[in-house]
Amino acid sequence: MPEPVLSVRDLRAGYGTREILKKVSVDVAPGEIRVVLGGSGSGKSTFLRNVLGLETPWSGEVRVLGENLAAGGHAADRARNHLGVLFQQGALVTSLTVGQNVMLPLVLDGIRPDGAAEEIARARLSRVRLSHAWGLYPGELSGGMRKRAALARALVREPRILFCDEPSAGLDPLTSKELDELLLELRDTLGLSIVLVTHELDSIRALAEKVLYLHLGEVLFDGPFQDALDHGPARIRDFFARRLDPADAILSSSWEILT
Amino acid sequence: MAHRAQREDLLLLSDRVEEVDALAAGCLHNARRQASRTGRRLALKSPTARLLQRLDALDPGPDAPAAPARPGLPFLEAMGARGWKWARHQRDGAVFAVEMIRAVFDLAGGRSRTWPGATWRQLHELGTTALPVVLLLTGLIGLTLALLMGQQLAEYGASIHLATLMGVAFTREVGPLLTAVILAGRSGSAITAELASMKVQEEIDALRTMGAREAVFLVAPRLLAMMISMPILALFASACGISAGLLIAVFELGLSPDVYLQILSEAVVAQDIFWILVKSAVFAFIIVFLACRIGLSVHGGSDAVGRATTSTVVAGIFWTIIADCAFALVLYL
Repeated sequence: MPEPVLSVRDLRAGYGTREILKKVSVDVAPGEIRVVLGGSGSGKSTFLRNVLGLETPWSGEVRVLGENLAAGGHAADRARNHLGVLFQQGALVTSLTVGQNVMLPLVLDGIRPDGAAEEIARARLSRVRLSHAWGLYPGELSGGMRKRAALARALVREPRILFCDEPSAGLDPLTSKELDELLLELRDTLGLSIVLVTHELDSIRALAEKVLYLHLGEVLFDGPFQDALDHGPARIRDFFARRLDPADAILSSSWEILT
Repeated sequence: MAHRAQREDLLLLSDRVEEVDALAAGCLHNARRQASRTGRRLALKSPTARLLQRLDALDPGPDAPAAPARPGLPFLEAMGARGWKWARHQRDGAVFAVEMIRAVFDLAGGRSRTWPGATWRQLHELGTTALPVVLLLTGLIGLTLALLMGQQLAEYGASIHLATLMGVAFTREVGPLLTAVILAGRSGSAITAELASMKVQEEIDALRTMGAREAVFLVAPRLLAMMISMPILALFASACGISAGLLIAVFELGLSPDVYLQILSEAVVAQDIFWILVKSAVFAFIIVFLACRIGLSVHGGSDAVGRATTSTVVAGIFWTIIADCAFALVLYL
C-alpha cells in the first residue's frame, strides 16, 4: 500500500471535559476519495476541526505526508501547506474580491499579489470555470459560484489533500452535481486525495470510494463504500437504506410536518 | 393541567377528540410526565387513534438520553468556580493584549503577513471617514459649552477667561475623551461586527487553515490604524471645540479674536498637546483590544453578532472613561 497522505492515529478530542472523539484512526491513500459519515453528534465536525489543526487534540497524531500537524510549529506549517479546505459556505474573505481571495494563500506565503500570483490564481479560477468572476466580491456571487471560488482558493497552493465540509449544502441538485463532477475531475487530473464530510447521498454515491462512519465518536465502519452497503453494520445499512428509499424520504418529510 | 396532574389523579374523556394540534398534544404529554413524577396518574378514556399517534410522536423513546441533572453547586464552590472563570478570563485578556502588540511588531518586521494595504484601508475606514462626525459633534459641544460658560463669566466681567477655560477643557479632557467615545461607538462597533461576522461565517477558520495569524492579519492593521488616527482626530476635535469657543467669544461676548488667541496661547502649553496624543493612543488601544477580543470570541449565529457589537460599545465607553479618570488623577491631582 502506498504511503498514506493523511494518517490519523488514536485521535482523542473534545470540548471542556466532554470527550467527543474516542481513539479515531484512519489512513487516506493518495488519490483516494474518503467520505466521513455519521449522524448528528457523531463527531464529524470535531474530527474535521482536529485534523485541520483548528483544535488541539487531547492525544493522538495527525500526520499529513509524514508531518505531524498536531505538534504545532514548523512541522504544522509544512503540513498545512499540503492541505486545501473547502468550507461549508465557502468562507471567502468578504472584503476581498474573488481574485484577491484566490491569491490570498500565496500572499500569506510572501508572494506579491501581482505577476506570478495573479497568473496562478487566474489559472485556478479558470479550472473551476469562474474566470469571469475575478473582480467580483463574494457578496455578488451565487452559492455555487462562492463554493467554486473557495475551491480555486483551496487549490492555489497545489495541495495533496483537499477537505470538503458539506460541499453540497444549500445548493440545488444540478449545481450540487456539477460540483461533484468538478471534484472528481480535480482528483483525476491533479491526483488529489479528497476527504469529504457530507450527508448528501447523491454526492456519496457519485464520489465515495471509501467511507468512514462515525458513531458517538468511535469508528463504526472504515472501508469501501460498496462493502458498507453490502456487509456494513446494521446501523450503516439502515442509514443508507433510509436515504436511498424515496418512499421513506417522503414519509420522513411528512412526519416532520405532522409533528 | 400539568399543575393539577401533580396533585391528583386525572381521567380525561377523549373519545370524541377528532383533531389535536401540536400544542394540545404537548400540554397533554407534559401533564402526563408531571403526574408520573409525583406518583399520580393521568389516564385518557377511549383515546382516538389520532390522539395516541400525536402523543406517541412526542415520546422520546427508550434511546433518548435522560435530561442531565443540574444540581446546584454549594455556595463556596460556586463562588470559587466564578472566581476561577474570572481569573482565566483576565489571563486570556492579558495574553490577547500581548499577542496584539507582538503582532504589530511582527507585521512591521515582515515576519508575518496581512493583505498588502490593509492598514491604509483601515486608516481610511476608521480614521478619515470618522473625521466629519468628530468635527461636527465636538464643534456643537464646544458651542454649547462656550455659550453657557461665556454667559456665567460675563456676569462677573470675566468673559476674557473663556479662552483659558475652552483651551484647558478641550485639550486636557473634552477633545480626547469625546473623540474616544465617538470612535468606541462608531469604529469599535464596526470592528466587532466585521470580525464577529467573519467568525460566524468560518472566515477566521479558513484564514487559520491557510496559515494566517488572526492577530496579524486582522487585529494589527486595525490597531495601527486606530493608534495613528485617534490622536490626530483628537487634535482636530480639540481645535474644533476651541474654535467654537472663539465664535461665541467674538459674536456673543464681543471679544476680539486676537485677544482670545493670545490668552489661549498662554493657557495651552506644549505638554497639553503631548498628553492629547498619549491619552488618545491609550484610548485607541483599549477600544481596539475590546472590539477585537469580543468580536473574535463570538460563538453562534447572527444574534451573537448583535450582542457582541453592543458589548463592545458599552465596554469601550466604560473603560475609556475609567482610563481617562486614571489619567486625570495621575496628571492633575
